[in-house]
Amino acid sequence: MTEERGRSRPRKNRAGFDFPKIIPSKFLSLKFNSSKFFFSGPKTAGALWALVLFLTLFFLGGRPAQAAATAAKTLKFGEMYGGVSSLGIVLSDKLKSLAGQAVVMEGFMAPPLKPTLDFFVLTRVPMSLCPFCSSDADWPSDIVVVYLEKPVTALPFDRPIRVEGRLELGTKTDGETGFVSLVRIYATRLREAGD
Amino acid sequence: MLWRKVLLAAGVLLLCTSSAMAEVVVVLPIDRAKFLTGQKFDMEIELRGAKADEIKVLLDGKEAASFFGVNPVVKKETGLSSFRMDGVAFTKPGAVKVEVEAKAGGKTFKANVGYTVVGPEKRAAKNVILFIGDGMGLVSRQVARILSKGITQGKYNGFLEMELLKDGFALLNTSGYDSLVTDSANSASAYATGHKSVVNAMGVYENSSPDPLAHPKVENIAELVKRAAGMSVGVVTTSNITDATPAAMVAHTRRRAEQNFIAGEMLKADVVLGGGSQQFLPQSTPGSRRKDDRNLIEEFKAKGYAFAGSRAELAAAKGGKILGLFNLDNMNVYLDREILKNPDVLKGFNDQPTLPEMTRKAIDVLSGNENGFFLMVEGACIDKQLHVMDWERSAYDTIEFDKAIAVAREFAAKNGSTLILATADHSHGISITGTYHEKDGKTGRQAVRTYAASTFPTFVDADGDGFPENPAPEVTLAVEYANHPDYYEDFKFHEKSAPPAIMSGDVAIGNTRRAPKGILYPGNIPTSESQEVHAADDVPLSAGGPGADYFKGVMDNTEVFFGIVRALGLDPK
Repeated sequence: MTEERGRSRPRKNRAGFDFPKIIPSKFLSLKFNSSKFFFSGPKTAGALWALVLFLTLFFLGGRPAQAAATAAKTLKFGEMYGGVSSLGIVLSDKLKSLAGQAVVMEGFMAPPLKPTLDFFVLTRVPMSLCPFCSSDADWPSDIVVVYLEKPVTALPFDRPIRVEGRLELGTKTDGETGFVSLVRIYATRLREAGD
Repeated sequence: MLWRKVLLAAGVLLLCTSSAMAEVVVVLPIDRAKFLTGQKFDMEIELRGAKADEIKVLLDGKEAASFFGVNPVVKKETGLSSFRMDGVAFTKPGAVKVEVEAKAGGKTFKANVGYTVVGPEKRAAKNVILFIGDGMGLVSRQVARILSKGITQGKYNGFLEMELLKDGFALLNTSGYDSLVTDSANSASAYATGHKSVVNAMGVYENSSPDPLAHPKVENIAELVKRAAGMSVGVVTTSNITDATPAAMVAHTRRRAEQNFIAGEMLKADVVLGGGSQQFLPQSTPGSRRKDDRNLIEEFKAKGYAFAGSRAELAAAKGGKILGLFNLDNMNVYLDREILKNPDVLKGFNDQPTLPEMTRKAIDVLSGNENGFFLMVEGACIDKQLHVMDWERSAYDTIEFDKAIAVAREFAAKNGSTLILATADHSHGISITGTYHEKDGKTGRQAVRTYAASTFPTFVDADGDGFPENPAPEVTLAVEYANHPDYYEDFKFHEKSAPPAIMSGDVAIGNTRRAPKGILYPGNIPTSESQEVHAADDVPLSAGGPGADYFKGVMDNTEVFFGIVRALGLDPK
């Protein structure tokens, strides 16, 4: 359901990515320099992705043992809204009660426009569209914007990730992109779900 | 017509050799454009690539200013010069010859285009109902006919309602003026204005402006029927009401993504029913997609519209104007809304009306105007479900769309004087290869039954409502796609929708979740496309009622507009 047919905003080629300094170049070459790797499909690339993800998150997240000790409460996509109608979404009591607190959510990182991100969109299911490349009318209503302490490159497209951080509610427009969000997590930790 | 033979067509002409930057004179509307007398439009001539010293425009040999009685706005800037007259109209039918001469830096650039102007006819129809099955090409009709009516020993057990409109039939060419394959904005714009446009645009010709709202406009059907005949207007759809097809009936924008703007333009219609309240709620309301604080639902109410947010509220709504928005986003498709009813899919929207119910309400309200009405009804998700390669969900929406046509036929039979048109805006590359079953243990492509093996499918409509109870019978159709990304195919109905491909960076990769045991079909379109795409195929149009005789043979899509204004005898002054 592409909003603008065939005329999505130009995107930077993968070759043109700026990689964050926090990831050593030897891992970047593993991740991005092999076109074969990208076209080999999810099944065969799975093991490589897992390795890349692990290494990325290891360097990003730092000390897993310490982070695991925080008492973040689990929030599921299905628990965010207490009611919905044509007149808008009503936030659930659970969501409202968690505002300002540490939460853990699982979802998928939507394909980003920018190669390095200081925020990304967490969705319930993998997105078929590059959300920033089409109009925001294409977004599902239940999304969470995740702001990051340090920029990251896009994570693998088809693996559930777990986000931990402080929950914030209320309409906010991102200064740089103009993206409007309602539910945000200021992430302190990202990792692959199911670890 | 020697002057035209000498020159290139299409209104884009280059008559002077030049250096690196090619200067081009662009005349808008384009060559061979057709107008109804009195139909207002903005005429703009651009000299691209040069600062003009002078731009001279002659219509039938007369200076443009005196021909239209309007003073042009002329802009001469480095790299772009423009000569524009807004809101002009032709008063007499016949051919019009336009000659342009622009001078810049000692060079002369010329362009010549020709227009056709048609005059009003005697009014034959009081009302027109235009049904647009989005993306509903010939094969979509046939798939719906097989599912809904069934076929016995090679003869169909019945025909669709749209196929019972037999007073006129035509094949329509769908291309816009920029490209072979169109989109829904551009194609609906041709129906609404009688003029071709470009992909993602509606009600405008494309100039050089980066502002999507600054392109030269052409008066559309909603504006014309109100201005010329005091008729009422309705737009009904299953998608966001601000999506391309309904939007093109009322709005003028180079970019269909301007949905905040389009929502406000819906005030041009009296009955507005569909999904997409997200474009009407102020940005402070959770779920809104507006970038401002306007509450359009309240604005509509203040202008006398009754608001309905559910099927029950629609049934109860009273008055001559109704705004009905039944989902924040696109409404759910028929299969999910009326049959499967999975709460995870409906997400709380458990009381959405059907397209036939919306159509009935729209006709009830609009027919209160003794001057008549124009109503556009769109089956929007026929297209959206083909994009995600879910032909079953698309087919159920085609059947629902057909049921809406039944409502209109019933009204026309009772009240007469109503032209009903049923068509598509463009096609999709689907084809029925045969049937599919696994009765003998074969699976995957080995179980696609071709020729004599393609025994008839076993869809059953036990309750006679036109919708088979089970979308996945033992013998189903083998529907295949001509234009697709990498995707996994298992030839089966998927109770839970999943997109065919998902984006990894810039590349669409087949989504294994769609068909975990399926086979990979390597894509045959660019890897940047994550969905099945439109096809350039001509689309069928069926017409019934007064004025339907206009439609015959193979026609340009812009002729739908001229068939409508002819039937209504529109004579805007």
